Order: sequence, then C-alpha cells, then structure tokens
Amino acid sequence: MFDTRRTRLTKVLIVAAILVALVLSGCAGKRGWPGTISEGGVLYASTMDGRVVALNPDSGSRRWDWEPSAGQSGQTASSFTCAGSSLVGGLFYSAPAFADDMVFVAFHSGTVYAINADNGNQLWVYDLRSSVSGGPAAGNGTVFVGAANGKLTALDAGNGTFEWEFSTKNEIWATPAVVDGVVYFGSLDHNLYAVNAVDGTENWAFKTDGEIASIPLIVDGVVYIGSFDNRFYAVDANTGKQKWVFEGAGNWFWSQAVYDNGIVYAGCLDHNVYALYAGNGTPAWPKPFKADDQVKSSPVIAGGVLVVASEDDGKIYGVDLKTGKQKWEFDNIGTKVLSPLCAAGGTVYINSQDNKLYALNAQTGIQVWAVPLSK
Amino acid sequence: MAEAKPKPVSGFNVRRLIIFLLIAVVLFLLITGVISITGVWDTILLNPMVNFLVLMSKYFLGSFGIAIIVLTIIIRLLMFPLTMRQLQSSKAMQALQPKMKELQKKYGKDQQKLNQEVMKLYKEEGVNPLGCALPMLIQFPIWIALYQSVIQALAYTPENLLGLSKQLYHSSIIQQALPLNHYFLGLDLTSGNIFMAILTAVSMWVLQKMSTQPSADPQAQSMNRIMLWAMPLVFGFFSLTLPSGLSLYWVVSNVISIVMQYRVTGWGTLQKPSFAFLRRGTPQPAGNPQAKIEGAASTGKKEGKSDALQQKGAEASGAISGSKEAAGSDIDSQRKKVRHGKRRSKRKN
Repeated sequence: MFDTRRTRLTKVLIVAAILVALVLSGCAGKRGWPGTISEGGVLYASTMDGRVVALNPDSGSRRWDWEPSAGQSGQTASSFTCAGSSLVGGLFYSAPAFADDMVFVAFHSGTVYAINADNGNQLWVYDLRSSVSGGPAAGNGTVFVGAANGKLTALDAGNGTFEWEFSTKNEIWATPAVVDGVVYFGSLDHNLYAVNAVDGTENWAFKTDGEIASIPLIVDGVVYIGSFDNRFYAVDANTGKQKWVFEGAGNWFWSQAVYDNGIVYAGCLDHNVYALYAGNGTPAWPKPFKADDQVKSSPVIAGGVLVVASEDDGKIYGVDLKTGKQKWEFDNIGTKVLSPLCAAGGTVYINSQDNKLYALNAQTGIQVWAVPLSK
Repeated sequence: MAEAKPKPVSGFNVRRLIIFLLIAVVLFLLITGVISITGVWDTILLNPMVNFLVLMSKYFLGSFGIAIIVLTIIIRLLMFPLTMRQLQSSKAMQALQPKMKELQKKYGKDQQKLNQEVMKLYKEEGVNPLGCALPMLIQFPIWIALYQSVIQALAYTPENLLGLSKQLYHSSIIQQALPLNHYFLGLDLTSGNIFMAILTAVSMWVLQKMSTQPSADPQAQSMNRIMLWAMPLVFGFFSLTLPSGLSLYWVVSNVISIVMQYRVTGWGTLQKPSFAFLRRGTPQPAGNPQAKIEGAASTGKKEGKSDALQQKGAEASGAISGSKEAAGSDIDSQRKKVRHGKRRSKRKN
C-alpha cells in the first residue's frame, strides 16, 4: 500500500528492464551470412567475425587467414546500435569471389578488398561509401559490386580503380553474375538488369512485381531468377524477354537456383524446393521437397544429390534429383544456416551461424570434418 | 433486527472461476505445445499491424513515415476508452492521497489495520485500486506489438527483411508495396537522428512531468525526479542510435498521450513558470498546489516555521482533496483553495 524505498526502487528497476527489453525486442541484430567458394582445390571462406580463411578441402586445415587492419573496413568498433557489431572487420552477406588468383570480398560497411589467393596478402581496398548486402562478382578483369546507394560499381580487378557505375532506382542487395561479358543482377526496384561488363551500358531490364535479392543463374542463354513476388522467372539472356514464369510458390525466392540435366532447382522461403523443367517451367517432381524451415541458402548439387539447408533449425537434407524424395538428413549443426552452400568433388561445405565450416559427404550426409573459422 | 445482506461474492466467484479456467486452458495449450506464444502473438497482433503498415505506406503517398503516424493514431484512438479509464482512475487515486496520508499517520504502526482502513476508504470513495493497472496491462501488449511492427516493417537489415518474409501476407498488393520509402521529411527512418532524439526526449519529459503524481514522501519525490529525467534521457539515447522510424512512433505516441493527459488532469505538475515572486519578492515554487502545501508542511519543521502555518496548510490540503467533489474538481480550483488557505495562515500569523 505504502511503498518502502526498496519496493519503489524495485518498481523503477522493473520498469527500466521492461523498457530496455521492449526496445531491444525488435532488434534482429545484424550478424551476416558469410559463404564459401571452392577454386583450384582450395576453399575460401568468409567468416562471421569478418575475416577470410583459405582451407584445404580434405581436412579443413588452414592455409592462410586474412583480416583487415583496424578501421579499414569502415565498421565502427564499439558503437551501440540496434544492430551493432563490435567486429573490426565487419560483416559479410556473401561468399567471396575468385578470379585471376585473387579473392574478392565486400564488407557490409561498403569496403571491397582484393586478397592474393596464394598467400592471403591484401592487394587493394576500395570504399564504396554505401552498405553492401550482397557480394562481389568477378569476370572480364573487373569486380562488380552492388550497394545500398542503388549503384552497381565496376572496379579494375588488378588495382581496384573505379571503372564505371550503373544506377538503379533502389538499393542493390543481390550479388551479380557475370557471363560472356554481361553482368546480370537484381535490384530492390523490382528489376533484373543485364549490363555490358565493359562499359556499363544497359542491355535490358526485366520488371517483376517484387524486389530481387537473389543471384541470377545463367544457363544456355537463359537467366533463371526468383523474386519477392513469389514467382520464379526464366528470361532470355539476350533480349530480356520472359520465357516462362512459375507462380506456385507461397513466399519469396531469395537463394540462387541450381541447374542439372534440364531441370532448375529453386529454394523458396515457403520451406519448399521446387524442381522445374528448364524448357517450360513445369514441375519436375510430383510435389516439391518440403524442408522444416525457410530455404534461404542456395542449394547445391554434389555427388548426384541435391543438398538443401533449412534456415532456422540448420538442418541439411540430401534430396534425390529425380524424385524429390529425401535421401538423408544431417541435424548436428544446431544453429541457423543462411549462407549459400558450396559443393566440390562430392562434398558439400556449409558455413553456419556459429562460425564453423562443416564438410559433409553429399551422398551419405555423414560429416567428414568440421572446423571453427574463428581466429 | 437488520436483515442480513446477501453475499455478493457468488457472482464474483463465478467470474473468477471462468477467468481461472480460461487461464488454465491457455496454459495447458501453451505447455503442451498446441499453441505457441510467438505464434499467437504474431497471428493476432504483430502480423496484422505489419501488413497494415506496409499497405498504408503504399496508399499514403508511398511514405512509411505517414504510415507510422496514421497507424499510431488509429491504435491510440482504439485504445482511447481504456486510456481514459486509466487516467481517470489515476486522478481519483491522486485525490485520495491526503486521506491516505492521514490513515498512515493514524495506523502507521499496525499494518493490518492500515490495510483494512485503506480498503474501506477505497470502498467509500468508489475507487478501484486496480483501475489504473488493468487498462495499462491490456494496452501494454498492443504498444509492444505496435513498436515491433514498426521495426519489422522498416526491415533495414537483411536479417530484418528475412524476418519480414515471415510476417507478410502473401498478396500481390503487399509484395508490390516493398521496398518501403525510408525517407520522411528528409529524415532517413532507418538510422538514428539528433533532431528526432531531441523531440523524443522533450515530448517524453513533458508527458512524464504532467503525469507525475505529487507526493510528500521525500523518497517518492526522489524516485519521481529520477524517472522524470531518466526516461527522456534513455529514450533520447535510444533515438540517437535506433532507426528514426521508432522515434517517430514514440514522438507521435507521446504527443497523443500529452493531449489525453491534459484533457483529464490538466498540466499536472507541469506548470507555466510563475514570475509572481518577482513582483512579491517571495519565492513561489512551481508545481502542483497539493505538493506545495504538503511540501510546506513537511519542510516547515526543519525551517522552524510556525505550527499554525503547518496546521492551516494541512487543513487546506485536506479541503482540496478530502471530499468526493475534490476528486472530480480541476487543478485550478484546487490551486485557488490552496492559495486562500495560505493567505489565511499568513493573516493569522
């Protein structure tokens, strides 16, 4: 009834705790989703703590380890924000890119780095001055990166000098793809663009009804891409004209599709993986493969098996390419898997949110090795 | 012989039993996993708000800022009856403070008796001590959902956007509304802003000042002072570091609360600065008149002022809020009575 000092203080503390909990409850902190690529018998993995690691694929042993010097990545070291990060190196939202014995990475803070693939020495750095929520692509002696300022920037792969930029009407969160001198990339302005890799002139733009954040897949002159309008498109790579569209999904497409033997496999945030005939977009399986959670990671094909990761529970599935039936399941990761999967020689490599790299036998789902990617 | 009154508890017990059974059923469903808290929360509160925000930002000039303002106003309008009940109860409780103090003086040593007398007072005055808490408890989840919906719909990080994919209804109208326009009156709603931080802190200070209940208890006064400054400072700091979209929601919500608070209790302890002391040459502390009287009474002894002044002050204080009419009367009439009481005390001396 009449409060003592202690009960009043307790009340104030409870109110303060509720307020802080309330304020922080809406914060889905930025953690990033780094990835792995396999080039020339070496794995190059970006890490959750803002570094790049080169590993031997048979054992996971390290060849070299790279991190930017303090302050270079443009990430503040100790600022309090809803999505704050205390990393010196910052966050990655993609796997590295590889070309001409160089590894390229783009931090979320907007700094792009070129690293010598043999020894991990830093070659150059370029600051885009805008955040990058996708990653770099390399080809034609150029590195291409899209940023939140809506611009796709082309940098000379050899020395990191600016070549040209192409503006879209909204942010670019997708990693581009470079094929035959053309850069294909999606934008949050709902368009898929094809741009000349040499001079940055627009070849065509294909409009969808939703944002595009996934990486385009280009096979035999056709661009396959999913959009946030719950549709999956096949677009002629030369003309930008739609060949077919698949409209049976229940959520967004965010991951890159994978192609094998006339069938395109596309993971969707409605928990399904759809197998569609590349010629006409009709389903190749009687029913899509259903994972336990959203399929955000790009699936891969290794050892004749489609390997799929579901987001929240971190389960990895081996799926029969012909029937869509589950062959095996690996659920020892125990944390989110958001990064694109990587396949090489019958093994699939998974960057998990606990900053570990797992190697699984793609045919059996048995773990080959797992190594921490932290320092 | 007086006829024994029928026990009014039977209906009350049935109501309690129904509430108890409902809670038991909900707990059972939660424990057995038939329903999940987050699932129910998202389906009933969060998802409709997020989708409404996205939809409105499409139709209100494509501006997410206007969508935040409109949704905040709509939610506050829907909550209007509850908020008013809470404010009225708070005001009634405030008016009972002098009587409560008397009871405390009288029965301070016997806690049980004190509680009985206080409950009796509540009954006599027709005041429900839970009248403030219950509407607040009902509103609290809705405020949290509104706050979460703003941060979800902003989707300013890739993780947030991924989270948004789970909240949105999959209609083409909603999908086409994305991405939302993050700029409002030149402000980037996804990043912190000093202007919005100042607005948040100032509006929160004003609201806090208006709604603070004056108290003679020095400990309570000290707590009130801490809350008065801590809340605006904490939220000002959050506004500097969190997305401005949230600050916009806080500012709009605070302004609505200020208007409602003013309608019920007036400016409360937030008084226009009084320069009367410049004319009279005597200090005239600003604040609630009741607080002034009680303050005078409590500090009088320390400063060696006459007991008569204290007594008159206490009488005036009792006159203000000792009756039921006082509970309904406005602050201005209370202030007049206090001044009148003070003048009388001075004349006597």
